[in-house]
Amino acid sequence: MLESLTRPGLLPLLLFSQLIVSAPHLWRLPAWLSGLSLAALLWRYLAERRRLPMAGPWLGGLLALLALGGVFYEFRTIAGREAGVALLVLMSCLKVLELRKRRDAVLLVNLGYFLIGTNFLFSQTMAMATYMLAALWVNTLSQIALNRLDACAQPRELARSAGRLVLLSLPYVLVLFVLFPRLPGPLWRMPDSGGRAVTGMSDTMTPGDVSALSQNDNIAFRVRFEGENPPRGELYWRGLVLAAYDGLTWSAGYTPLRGVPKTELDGGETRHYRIALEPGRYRWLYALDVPAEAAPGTRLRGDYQLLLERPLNDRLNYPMSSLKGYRIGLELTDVARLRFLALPKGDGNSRARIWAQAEFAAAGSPEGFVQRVLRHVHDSPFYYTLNPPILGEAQIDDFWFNQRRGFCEHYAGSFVYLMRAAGVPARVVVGYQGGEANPYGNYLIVRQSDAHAWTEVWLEGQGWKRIDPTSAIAASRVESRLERRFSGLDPLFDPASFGEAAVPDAWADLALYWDSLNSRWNTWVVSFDAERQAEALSNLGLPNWSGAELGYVLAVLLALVLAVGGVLLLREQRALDTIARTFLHLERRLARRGFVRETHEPPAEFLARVARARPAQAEALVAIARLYTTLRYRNSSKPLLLQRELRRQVARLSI
Amino acid sequence: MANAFIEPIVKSLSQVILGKEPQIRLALACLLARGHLLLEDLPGMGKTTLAQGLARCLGLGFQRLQFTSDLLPSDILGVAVYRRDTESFQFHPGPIFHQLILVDEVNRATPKTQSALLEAMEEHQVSLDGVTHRLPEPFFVIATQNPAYQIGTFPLPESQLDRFMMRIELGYPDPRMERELLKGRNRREVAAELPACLDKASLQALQDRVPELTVSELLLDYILALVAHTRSAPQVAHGLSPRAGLALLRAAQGYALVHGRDYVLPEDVQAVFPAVAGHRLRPQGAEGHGDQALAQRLMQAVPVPV
Repeated sequence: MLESLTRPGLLPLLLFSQLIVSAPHLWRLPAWLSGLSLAALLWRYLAERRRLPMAGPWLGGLLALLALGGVFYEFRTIAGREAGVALLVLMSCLKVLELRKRRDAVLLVNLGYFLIGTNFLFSQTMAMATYMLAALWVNTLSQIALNRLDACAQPRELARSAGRLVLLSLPYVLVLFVLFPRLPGPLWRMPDSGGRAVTGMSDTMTPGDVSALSQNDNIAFRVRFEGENPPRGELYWRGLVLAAYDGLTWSAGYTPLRGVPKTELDGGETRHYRIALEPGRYRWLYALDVPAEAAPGTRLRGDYQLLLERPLNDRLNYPMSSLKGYRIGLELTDVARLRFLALPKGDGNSRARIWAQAEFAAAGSPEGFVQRVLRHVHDSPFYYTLNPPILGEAQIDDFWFNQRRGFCEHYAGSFVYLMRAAGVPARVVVGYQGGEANPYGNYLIVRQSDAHAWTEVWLEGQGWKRIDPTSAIAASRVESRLERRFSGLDPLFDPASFGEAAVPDAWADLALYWDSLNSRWNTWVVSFDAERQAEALSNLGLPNWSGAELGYVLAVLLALVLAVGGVLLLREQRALDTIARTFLHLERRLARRGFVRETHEPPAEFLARVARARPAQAEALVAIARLYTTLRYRNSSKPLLLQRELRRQVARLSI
Repeated sequence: MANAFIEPIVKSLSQVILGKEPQIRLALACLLARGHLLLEDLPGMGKTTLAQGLARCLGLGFQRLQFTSDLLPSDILGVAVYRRDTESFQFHPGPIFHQLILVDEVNRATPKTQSALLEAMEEHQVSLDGVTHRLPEPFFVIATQNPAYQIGTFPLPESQLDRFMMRIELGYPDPRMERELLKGRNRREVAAELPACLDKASLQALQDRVPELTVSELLLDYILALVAHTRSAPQVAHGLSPRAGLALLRAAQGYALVHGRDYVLPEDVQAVFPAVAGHRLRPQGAEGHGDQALAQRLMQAVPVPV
């Protein structure tokens, strides 16, 4: 009876658990492969329900070949993360077509556990972990049902015991998670998922680049400050410094590898914080303007960029500190001066050049010139908009004198152009501005939509000064969609009338709460690396064990658990005396042949019932029943002898 | 072996009460275990015939008592009458001084009379005017009552029901047996002619053997588990008392003896459990005592130890 899967409700349960286990994969697979898998499940279900024919070995083999071919066709390989898992999912779904015997089901259920685990290769979010826990529960449910004679007779009780098992496993999961030695790098390199689109900043700036990001609400990174959050107006997250302009695009250009003079970093107050970058591809890191130290794995360059020593393809969590009030780049070499004054030749923006030189002459000093240009932005009909018109060939001229509608990159680019045209060294800085404070986690969320471009101007005696021309736009000419964003900029001339923070509604509140949960998940689960592990261990008052030592500790713990469990099990076994063990053994053997003893059925009566159904073995069974009864219910003078005889007869019984 | 005595009795009683062998065995087990029997069934199901047949087969003195609402305790126990010639009271034993008494419609008498009877059943003696009179040995009471509620009856309270070791129902005979019954002679006559299979001494010897039958620890475990289950089961208001547990054990021993065994099996316990426990259990939230179906269900929830 145990060998077949005919117990009511068992097969639908197995199919359901297979569906639950493979659902996230099916979602990811190409549609026709998912369809094939689902069709296999449905077919097996109908075969059970409507007595449709099952697939024969020929058709099964054909389908397996089709699946193999399909995976190869879609992925051009059958190995690796994507293709390997796809193949596994497909084959396990097709396996249900030949789900007849117990061993098929055992294979399926055990494979299910592995399939659940493979989800982590694709997604490590909290939602996925929760789903996997649920899938674990369902799979355990089928595991139990498979090994029980009454199968799904008491679904509630079944669900409860599966739930209990999963819950009981959680402490072990926790201990293993915390104590398992963390390796410095990934165990194997994840094959680069070439097709995966990565949003984020590029290393050049063309008009339209930043505004394209402004609609993207994905999170760029989260920041947790030690102590108070800085005011919004100071939240300039420095990314890249762009010095070269070719008439269309701003890029880093040739930058000599020079470090920051030590004197600039010394003294002065610093802010300490920790940044958790979302996964992406990075070649540089972000820091609050301006970083006071190099983040791990980066070099702090003379223009205060944090360039990574090798590109990164993952989530990153790093501590940082930044200077509060700063004066940087007081000395400007001649080579550097030339770099920051360079303009493309013959780019057609002659009107802008002439305008700049005239204004500079009128202002008399670089400082005055900067103020004049900003005042011009404020007083002239310059608009801050997400939908700037397409600019003509002479971009700066067209923007500055004709269109006057643009996003931050238009203003930053034009401003630097005008400064250089008048002989004032200037450069573009791209990064993020602002950040939403999450009251539930006391951290800031910086989104892709917070991407921003601003400028730095070099003034004699003051060094590089941050100027954000976007903030000079009159508040009345800011597109309503950008008001929230603009209000964070600390407008230069007029206080933004809409500067009040919007009252968060319940939905936004919930979203913030959810994000704080996610942030904690990312910090404590996903990026739980060797460093975090050491931190957690010291929080628990444990010594800072090395990887090998952790391994020993784990092994000892495991041995202890096994030993205690083993002793408990042995004790239970011993409590069952020899006669009971022999009888239970017989009972299991008979159960496999379809003879199941009801718990209230007296053993002798049960054996008599089996004897009636199996006349060939009746004599042996009756003899066993007699021995058992004598041992259990009569005064016997030689119980040990009879016990041995009982064991012998049970062993000899062929049924 | 006990078989030699019991099987002929079962056989000859089966001639009288057709197709009721399980009930006959239960009744015999009850008698051998020195318990009293409550037969609950509609009139005309063969209660009196069974009692008569039992009395004949076992060679017991038989007396039938019809309970009515004006019956007084002295009507069954007897009276002490003053005798002028000896100037003393002389005890005139009532009908209860017989070995096998059939009390018909026990629930029609007043509680006072009922309790006089039940007291005598329990104590196996009658105390009157300070003098104790032993009842004859063996002493076996078969009481019958009509299960349907009727006007002018006094249902036995639970404490009194407890005095009966078993309560069984005869039930309708199956059609084949009923046909036989119609074709054959009057069963009362047959019963009156049954040969005595036992004498008083051998019956008492059998009764003495009952408590001595082998009861293994495992069987005690089972009985205790059954009793414990009736106490914890939600569908039962009051579980079985220790006295009921003892009755269960004795009844099972009696049943084992009826089957000619000198050891008790879980099968014996299961066979007597509904008859022993049924009238002692009060279902939760319902009036009156439970039925055998409830006992059956409770029994099926308790695993037999292996």
